[in-house]
Amino acid sequence: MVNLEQMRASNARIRECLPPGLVAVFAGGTSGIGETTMKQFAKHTVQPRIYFVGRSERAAARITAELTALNPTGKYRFIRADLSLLQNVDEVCREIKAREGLINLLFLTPGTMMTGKGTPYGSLFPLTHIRYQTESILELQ
Amino acid sequence: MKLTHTPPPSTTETPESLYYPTAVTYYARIRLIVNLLPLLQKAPHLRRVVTVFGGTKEGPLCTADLSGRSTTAATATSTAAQLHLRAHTASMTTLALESLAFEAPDVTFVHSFPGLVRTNLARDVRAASAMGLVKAVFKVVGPIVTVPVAEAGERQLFLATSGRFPARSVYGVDPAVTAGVGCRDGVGVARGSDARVGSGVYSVNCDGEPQAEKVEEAVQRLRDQDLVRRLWLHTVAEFVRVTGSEFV
Repeated sequence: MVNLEQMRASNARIRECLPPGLVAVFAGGTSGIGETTMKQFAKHTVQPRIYFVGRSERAAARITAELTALNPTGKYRFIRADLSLLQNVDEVCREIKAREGLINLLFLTPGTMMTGKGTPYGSLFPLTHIRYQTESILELQ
Repeated sequence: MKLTHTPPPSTTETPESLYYPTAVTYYARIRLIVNLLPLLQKAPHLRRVVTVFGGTKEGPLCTADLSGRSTTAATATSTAAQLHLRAHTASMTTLALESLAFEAPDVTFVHSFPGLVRTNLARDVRAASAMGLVKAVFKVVGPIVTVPVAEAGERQLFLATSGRFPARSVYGVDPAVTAGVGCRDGVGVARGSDARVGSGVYSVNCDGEPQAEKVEEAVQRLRDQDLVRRLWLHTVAEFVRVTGSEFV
């Protein structure tokens, strides 16, 4: 078992152990675990190139601004797509392959959900029709 | 306001005839990995795939219906059914990663569990059934240890970058280089999904701790039924059915 301090110590050494210019793809990066991990990645790397894929343009705009503030040396590109369709997955991959020759990290969180307001809700498996209701509400924002 | 591509609430089928929950947590993710694998293999550093879903939560597979539809046949609000679907999909994920590691032993595949994440977002989830359901689920799950959002990200970042999770083998490349941030301070290389240390496929919780022995045995029983291969053939068949190709 690794405690949080050990994890933080390891994360703090990312900059010295890994080179600048890492390329990372975060599918599901516009919310939840994807978003928070992406921000930590940006914070701990030098000149990262991050692609994040999700459905919400509005969330993406906010997140891009936050990433830029966290690490102005990075390049951040949002790809809008609904990954519940494989044809969209393929389109996203074509776009990434057209722009990059290699990827260092692929981080996948589509379908996980964080909900709640100060109560211990988790990143639970999506609960189908409930997910639709919450996603619909979120898209209204 | 435009609801793009979101199926109406009364259906759980995607327009491509996939079961929505496994479409987004399994099929789409495996497709992403398969498509982008060559690019990962070209990276001189790290080469890591992390799929955040149900690491360490693997359970029985509904072998007659790998799509997962049958596991929630009872009712979508049934807690037991949801956990059953999660266990099923978690097993699918880990076994699929093992197939991928055969093909790309120079890439690390991590199946993680995010932990129970506490958020104090102002977002209002106005589905009363969701709250009731989530409470019911937590009764089943047991004592809750919640982590704040930022900390959850720090933990997953560790899983994504630490040398605790090296690839199985690297062709002519210094292993230290692709392993990421070298292990230190008593942190060692993790036991893989097949119980072998450093196997290149890891199923871990947000403590970076691998699956319990009971889960390991359950997954081994699945392997003994040739389910790694059967599941992979099913997955590829679905890819071809929907897109006409095994990958792009």
